[in-house]
Amino acid sequence: MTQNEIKEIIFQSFPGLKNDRNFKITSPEDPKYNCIAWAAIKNNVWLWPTNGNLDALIWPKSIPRNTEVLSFKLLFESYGYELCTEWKYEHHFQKVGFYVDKKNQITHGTRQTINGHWTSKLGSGWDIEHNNPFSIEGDEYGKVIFFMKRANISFDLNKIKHI
Amino acid sequence: MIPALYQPPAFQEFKTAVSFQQNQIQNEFDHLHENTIEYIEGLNKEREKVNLDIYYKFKFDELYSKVIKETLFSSSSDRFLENSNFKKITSFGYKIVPAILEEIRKKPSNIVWALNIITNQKISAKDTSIEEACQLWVNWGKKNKFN
Repeated sequence: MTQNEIKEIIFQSFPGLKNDRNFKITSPEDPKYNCIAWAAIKNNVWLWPTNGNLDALIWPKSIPRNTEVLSFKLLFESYGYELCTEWKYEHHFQKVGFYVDKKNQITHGTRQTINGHWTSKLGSGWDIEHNNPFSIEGDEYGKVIFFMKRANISFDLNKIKHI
Repeated sequence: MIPALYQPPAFQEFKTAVSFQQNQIQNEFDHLHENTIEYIEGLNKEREKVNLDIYYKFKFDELYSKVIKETLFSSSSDRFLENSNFKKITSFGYKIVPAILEEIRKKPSNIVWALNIITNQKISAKDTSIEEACQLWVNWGKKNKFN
């Protein structure tokens, strides 16, 4: 498939990306990880609450196994994130955003990159970069419901090195 | 006068020898016949097995491509596991295992979960990646003569 053919497939589910000037496909299709793992900077497991005993599908025991907003908030708090209201880029902070469907169940997670754009793993498909969290809202993932942020670890490490 | 049914001893010996040879030929023929039937039956079984392997591979490819298409943008493992075509794959049980193993050997993916469901077991430890889990299953397949 050519990049344009892939884009057409993506546009069918995410029409908002047609007008996203920073939309680009950043990885080949890869079913080895999902969006929540990608938001948590993992690219070799699936991170999702499940009751099944399945290989490489992880979810901490201490966090409720459901797709309620609270469970994902708790998960990312365990990674050092805290709730925030502003989605725009803030120097020295890394941000993530979460989407819910009409039943208020989490459907997707996205992460802000160092250039202020956002990166999303589309299910078992491609990684994409998009300008803002809202350009992938729609029937597939619903609406963005909350954002979280933490001090940018990579920045701190660079700072330590510099000193 | 010589009796009508009299046969010289040499002729009797000749007849016995011929009869013995006839029996031997018949036995050899019967044995050959049995072997041939066995061979043909073996070939048929082998062909049947090959046909079934091809059938399950074909079925797997067909269903898995539908699973991918129908769950492509979903990050929910539940949506993947509850997909009707995924359920069709697992409903074939152990017969479809070689096709799944072939797929994850070529391209590691979360279709490995079909093996968890069919065999009712998890193969990996806590922090194993999809790629490592797939490799463990491929090794399991070799050990259990599925490949």
